[in-house]
Amino acid sequence: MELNAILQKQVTAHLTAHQLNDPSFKQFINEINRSYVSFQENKEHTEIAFKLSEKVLVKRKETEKDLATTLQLLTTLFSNLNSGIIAEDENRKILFTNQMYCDMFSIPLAPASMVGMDYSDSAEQTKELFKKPISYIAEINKLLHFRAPVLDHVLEMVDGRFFERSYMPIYNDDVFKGTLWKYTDVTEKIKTENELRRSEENYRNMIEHASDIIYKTDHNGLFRFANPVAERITGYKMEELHKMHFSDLINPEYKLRAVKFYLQQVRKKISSTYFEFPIITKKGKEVWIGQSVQYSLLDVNSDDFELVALAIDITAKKTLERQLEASFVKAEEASKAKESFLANMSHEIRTPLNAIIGMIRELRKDDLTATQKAYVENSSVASKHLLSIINNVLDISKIEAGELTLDNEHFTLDQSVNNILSIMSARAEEKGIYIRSEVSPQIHKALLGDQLRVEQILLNLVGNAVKFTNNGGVTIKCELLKETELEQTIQIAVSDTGVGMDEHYLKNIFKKFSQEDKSVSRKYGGTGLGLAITFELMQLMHGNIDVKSEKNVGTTFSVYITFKKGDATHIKGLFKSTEEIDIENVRILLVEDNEINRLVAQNTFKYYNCIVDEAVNGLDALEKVKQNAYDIILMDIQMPEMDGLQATQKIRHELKNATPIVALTANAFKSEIEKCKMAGMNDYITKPFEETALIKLISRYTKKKVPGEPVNKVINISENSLKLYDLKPLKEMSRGDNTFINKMITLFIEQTKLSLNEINSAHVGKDYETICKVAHRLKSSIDNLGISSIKKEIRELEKLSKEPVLLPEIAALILLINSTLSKVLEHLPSEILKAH
Amino acid sequence: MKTSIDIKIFLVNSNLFYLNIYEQSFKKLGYKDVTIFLNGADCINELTQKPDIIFMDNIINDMNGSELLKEIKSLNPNIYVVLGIDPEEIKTAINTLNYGVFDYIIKGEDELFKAESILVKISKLRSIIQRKSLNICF
Repeated sequence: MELNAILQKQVTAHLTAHQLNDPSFKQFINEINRSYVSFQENKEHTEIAFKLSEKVLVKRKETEKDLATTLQLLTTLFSNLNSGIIAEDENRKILFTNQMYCDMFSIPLAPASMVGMDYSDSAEQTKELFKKPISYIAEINKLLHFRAPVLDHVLEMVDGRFFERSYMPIYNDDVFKGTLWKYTDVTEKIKTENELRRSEENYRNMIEHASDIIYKTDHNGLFRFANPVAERITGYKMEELHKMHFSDLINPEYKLRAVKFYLQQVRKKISSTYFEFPIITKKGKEVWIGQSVQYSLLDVNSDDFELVALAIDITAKKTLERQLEASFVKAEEASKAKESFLANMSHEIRTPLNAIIGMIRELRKDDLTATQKAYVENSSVASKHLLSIINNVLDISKIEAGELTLDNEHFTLDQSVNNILSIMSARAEEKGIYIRSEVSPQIHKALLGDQLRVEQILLNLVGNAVKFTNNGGVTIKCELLKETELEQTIQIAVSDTGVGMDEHYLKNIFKKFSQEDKSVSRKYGGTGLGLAITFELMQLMHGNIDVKSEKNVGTTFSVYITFKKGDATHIKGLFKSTEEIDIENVRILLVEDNEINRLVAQNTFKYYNCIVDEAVNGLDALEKVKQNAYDIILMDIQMPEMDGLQATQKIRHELKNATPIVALTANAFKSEIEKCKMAGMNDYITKPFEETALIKLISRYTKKKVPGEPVNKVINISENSLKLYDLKPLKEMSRGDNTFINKMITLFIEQTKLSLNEINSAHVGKDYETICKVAHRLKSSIDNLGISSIKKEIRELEKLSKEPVLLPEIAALILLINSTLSKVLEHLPSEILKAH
Repeated sequence: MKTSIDIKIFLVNSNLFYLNIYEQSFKKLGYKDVTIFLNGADCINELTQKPDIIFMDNIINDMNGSELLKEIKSLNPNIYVVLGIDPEEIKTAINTLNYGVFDYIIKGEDELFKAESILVKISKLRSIIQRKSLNICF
């Protein structure tokens, strides 16, 4: 009995309170008690039993400890699980739950305090939280009945949440031991899934119902997908497209280009491109497509890709483009037509005007009554006015066409101002007003600029000033504003004491065809072009112009121009007033097809006692030149049979005749004048000509007695002022290697000869493309050899021959280039000798 | 590694005179390996020589510049192509940049200087690329 008590004590000491209440333990202890009785006789056996029990107990305790640890682990895991967990035993008593479960079902209890509670009523209590409470209850009952696991069943909650429920029955040796319920909040997941599905659907809808073609091709260019629009526009069904290459649709003419384009995209992996081409539909219709193509890699790790294309029908746009292009060409043509119209008009109007002015001039020399004199005087003024209008219109159109380029010559401003004074003083005198000038002595004697145009500006301003001034007078004042080593900025102010202008009118003053009011033009005459031309000329000279005016007080126009300083030694009065005019007995050949013009000239020459012979065209002139000797030939340009240019060339080259030839031209365009000089003429005079100017010109070319006056002055000037070529760059490059220079010179000679032959035969064959190419090629040789006199011309030739419209200009340029290069070729061989 | 002196240069221009000027000026700068071509077809046939740089004119006897350019680029995209153009052709130049022209020279007085600076630029570029590829190796 004593031992029994000790044992009891021993055992209970090792047991927890929970285990002590455990019926199985109680049974175990009773068993031991019972065995103790049977063993009590044998002390030794009892001790063995005792020791054995102790061992069992220790082992059990260790297992208990392990279990506790495991339980602890599981509890922690469950508590922190992102799902609500609740476990119940076979009697529906709660074994365990976690905070998440309480939170999900808004249970205001701590999870631990729920252990042992009855769970059987939970479905009823929570059903209101579910959107479909009745089916919820029914499902729970079904689950409990069948006791089979059902995982991840989604339930919708009243408040919009979604719970995923898992039912897991627990069996121990096939005996049902309870249930584990797991609830997970999958609201976010469901929402994302729904959104994804919706957007996918949206995209599908968009693609299906898009108004543009959307398709995909694989890396070989075979169609892999096409939307209904693609089917509709191409006329091919999806099944047909699947067997096609994207290029099968493209208009054969454009196919190669398109395929190359997309090969490029693929090769360079360009992510996005845009390209336009026409396709041919199943029905054979051409449809223009503008498509952007995305290159997209299918897999980052491989090179496999597809092309996704979005294409729109741009047929309408293309049609419009073509129409636009056509109308642009038309507009271009119209503008060209306008240009040539103006050029022709210039000729057509000037020729009869020449006759009118000439005839009036002759009439004035006769004895007239006072009335007749007045009539003639008026006619003369009117015809001169008409001439000035035509000149102005021509100037403006030249400026607009960009034809007007400025000369860069040495001139004296003082001289120009004096020229203007002498022209205008007569008119000022008539009106009884003064006209005077002040030119600052600081202004450089020689300036570089376009003297004619500077005088034109002055004439416009002074002419206006005189026109609008009735009392007082006009002052021209030239002052130096700024000076650098190379340049001088000069202000030329033309002030009058005339009618003045309103301030608001000053704004419009430089616009074309504007005068202060319509009555002004009736009262004072004029086209309103003068100031516009002045303004444009100032722009060309990079100058400024401004105006100050007060009504009834006067107006001051000031122009500001920067000139480069020139060299006074270059200035030679072309028309010296001191020039002695003596053309008596000068033998003149007048080549002119217009009878009236011949008559006009004849009259003039008779007046000066010249001996005049006439020819009616170039051929006629050639015959006359062969038979007779002349001191000067006056040559019209446009003539039937043979024109003046051809005739001049023949006189110079075939007849080897050096008689001075002066062109009589109605065309004041610079290119025309160039052509004349090119053909071998010495000078020109534009029709209608001023009698004195013509006489002076003749006198200058026929006064052989005066030494030092070169006959072919024009050509000489160009030769002196411009070096034919410049070997300096070549020499610098050679670093003293004469063989290199010689080689280059020889090369230049050979190449240029070939090029000239090529260009000339191309010109004969009207092969402008070749001309363009050869010009392009020649250009760099000309540049490198510093043949600066035709640098501009060779470029002009290349440009013009691209679109061969201005054929005479092209011919003239070729002629000029030929003659210049021939001269160069003549001189160059001597350079080789020099180098040796 | 090629030094700048080893760079192989092709010059394509219809003008033999012009070609000689360029050749002389490049040789003066130390670029000895210069080959000249009067037309595009010859140049294409010799591309097997693997030139490093091609200086070409925009207008050549047998083809226009962009045709030649495309041909060169499709046979060997690594060649530096430098296009010579006239000042009025700048638009063309910008277009050709899309076809892979490395740079262009606007013809004029200072074009040889421009050509020289392009050569310097290319050698610098080549040495950077060279260094990079060495880095990859090690």
